[in-house]
Amino acid sequence: MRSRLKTLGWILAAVAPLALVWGLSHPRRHPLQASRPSAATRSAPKREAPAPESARSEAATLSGELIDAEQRPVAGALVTLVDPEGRGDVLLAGRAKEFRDRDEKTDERGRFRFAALRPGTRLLIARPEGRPPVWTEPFFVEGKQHRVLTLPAPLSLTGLTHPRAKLSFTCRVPGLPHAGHRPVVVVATADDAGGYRVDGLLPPATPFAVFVEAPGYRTRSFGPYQFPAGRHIVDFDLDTGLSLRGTVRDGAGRPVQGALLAYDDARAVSEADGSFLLSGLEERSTTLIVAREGHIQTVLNAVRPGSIDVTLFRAAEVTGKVSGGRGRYLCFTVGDARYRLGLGDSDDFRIPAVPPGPLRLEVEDEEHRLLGSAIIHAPEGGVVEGVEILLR
Amino acid sequence: MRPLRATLLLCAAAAALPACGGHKDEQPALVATPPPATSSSSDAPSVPVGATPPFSLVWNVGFTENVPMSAMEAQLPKFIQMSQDLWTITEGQVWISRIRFSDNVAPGAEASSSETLRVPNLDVVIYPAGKWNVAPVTGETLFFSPSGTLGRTNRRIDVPDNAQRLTLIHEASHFAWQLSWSGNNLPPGLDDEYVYSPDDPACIMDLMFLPLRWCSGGALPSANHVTKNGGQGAQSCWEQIKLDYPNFSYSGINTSSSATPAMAVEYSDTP
Repeated sequence: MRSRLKTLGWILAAVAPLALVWGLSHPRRHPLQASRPSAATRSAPKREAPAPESARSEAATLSGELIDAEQRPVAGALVTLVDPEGRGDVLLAGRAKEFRDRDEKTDERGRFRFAALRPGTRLLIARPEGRPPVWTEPFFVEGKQHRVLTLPAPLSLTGLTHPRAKLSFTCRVPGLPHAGHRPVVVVATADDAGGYRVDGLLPPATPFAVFVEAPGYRTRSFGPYQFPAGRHIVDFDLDTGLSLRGTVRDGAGRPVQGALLAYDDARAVSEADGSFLLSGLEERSTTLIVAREGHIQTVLNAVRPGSIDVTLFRAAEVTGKVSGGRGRYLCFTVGDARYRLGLGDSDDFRIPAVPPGPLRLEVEDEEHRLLGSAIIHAPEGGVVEGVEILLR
Repeated sequence: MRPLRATLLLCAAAAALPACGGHKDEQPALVATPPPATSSSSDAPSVPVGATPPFSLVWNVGFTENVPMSAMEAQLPKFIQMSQDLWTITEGQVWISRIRFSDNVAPGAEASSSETLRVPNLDVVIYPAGKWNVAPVTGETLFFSPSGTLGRTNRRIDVPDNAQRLTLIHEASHFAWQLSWSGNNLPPGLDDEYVYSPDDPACIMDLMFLPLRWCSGGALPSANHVTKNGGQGAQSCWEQIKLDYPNFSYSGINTSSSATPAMAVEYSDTP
């Protein structure tokens, strides 16, 4: 007995310091004590002191009013009651499948009301037309609550950027997931001289970033910025980046007008003489895709900025019939692309677009086994009729 | 003997205590036992655990409606761009080597019933914009169990036919990795970062700003995102990828000097 007590003493002596350290690293909180957000948890949904279980299971009502800095009601503003736990872009067992955000408009006295609410964490966002939005931190809705939202003092930005540039001012609302909820974004377009002006931007002191896109320039994001209320001047300068220019011609060397060219985010349409210019490019190899109705889509890999001439073949049409059996697909290969056209119930077929030159047409079954084939020679932009593919 | 017994009991008691500095509801990220090394090419739609870079993915993409061949061709540039973006973000370690387009996979289907759509051969489903009735969501990644019940594997991407570049790479980021992290109902892929602190608005999983990148943290280069401690059991994107894929690396440059390998494409068009 004595030796067991001694052993127990050894254990207690050894465990006590560990328990002390653990206890210090896990500060206890009273369940009803509202936790102060640390830097690391500041945007996690916070719960205010919960009500007794009976009250929490009852439908809640949230009313409120939207006023400006002079205490005047703001009418006609969209007010969204956001449920951060509503449906997002990841669907997973245990996550909500329903959109739970609710919208109301403020009446002439700036009032809004949400009834029949399931108790839970919410936040409010008010978006008055032409004025800065305002929002609350996440709070726990239960029983009957009333919230007053006060529009912030105006923050305005003005400055110079590139002609017709599109500027998107985006901020994060703490506790608001990006997916499944309308983001808080203010969009402005620069005039033909590159000037822009945004009044009633985001609430002062809110960190925001600016995404600037302009034709012929490399898209870029700026920020984050944080400004006090008032008018501020910020210019946004984009790099022209590199360019890729060239000409699109058909197989006969004739210029192709109206071909759409895609290279990363850059897009261009070829001119009457087939010329094109893609600008705002990065220095890297990427894929150039050229397409036009009635032509064979062309994919060119590992293209760098500079110059290039593209051949965009006019498509030929092929008609014919399959005999000696029933196939599932009529197939052909162009470069890295394999085309399978379902044959349906008919023995006759029509392929609206094949590339010019020699082409092997194949018939496959459901499991892509080869049943028969024929080689055709299609003239560019022409028609091949009466092709017969005899199945084995 | 007594000190030895006491030491053993002490070890048992210490093991029963939570780790110091941890949180009650925080679950440590699991490190999966590496299976045998996987070839860098397979038919896999997401990177298998144990794979070695560079690794190519194969995606089966289905249009719910019977669309013309030109409509399928029109989607190709977006998927090529997505493969290039994936190649860039992974610093030349992952790309899509083959896309198989097919159509008429679920005529009339609407996005709101995506979880009931059974398309066992598909990794991506494309809806006509008019049937995309789950806005403001612009794209979705579904994770489900058991594997293969709603798609080819345990995950599927659903997007409208007018999905933008950043939506596609965001959903592809959810989809591409098979992660072992656990915690507050985390998916077995990259999660949305934006719900939890600390903020990293430049991460693709957050507000999707340029330049494209995933967040990193801890001792990784260009750390911009510390381990989450809000009880989610999650950490930065690259930290978790590195845990589950020790053969992959991250240098912090978020780009690749080599061109994205070519993508092959197959179209199967219903008459």
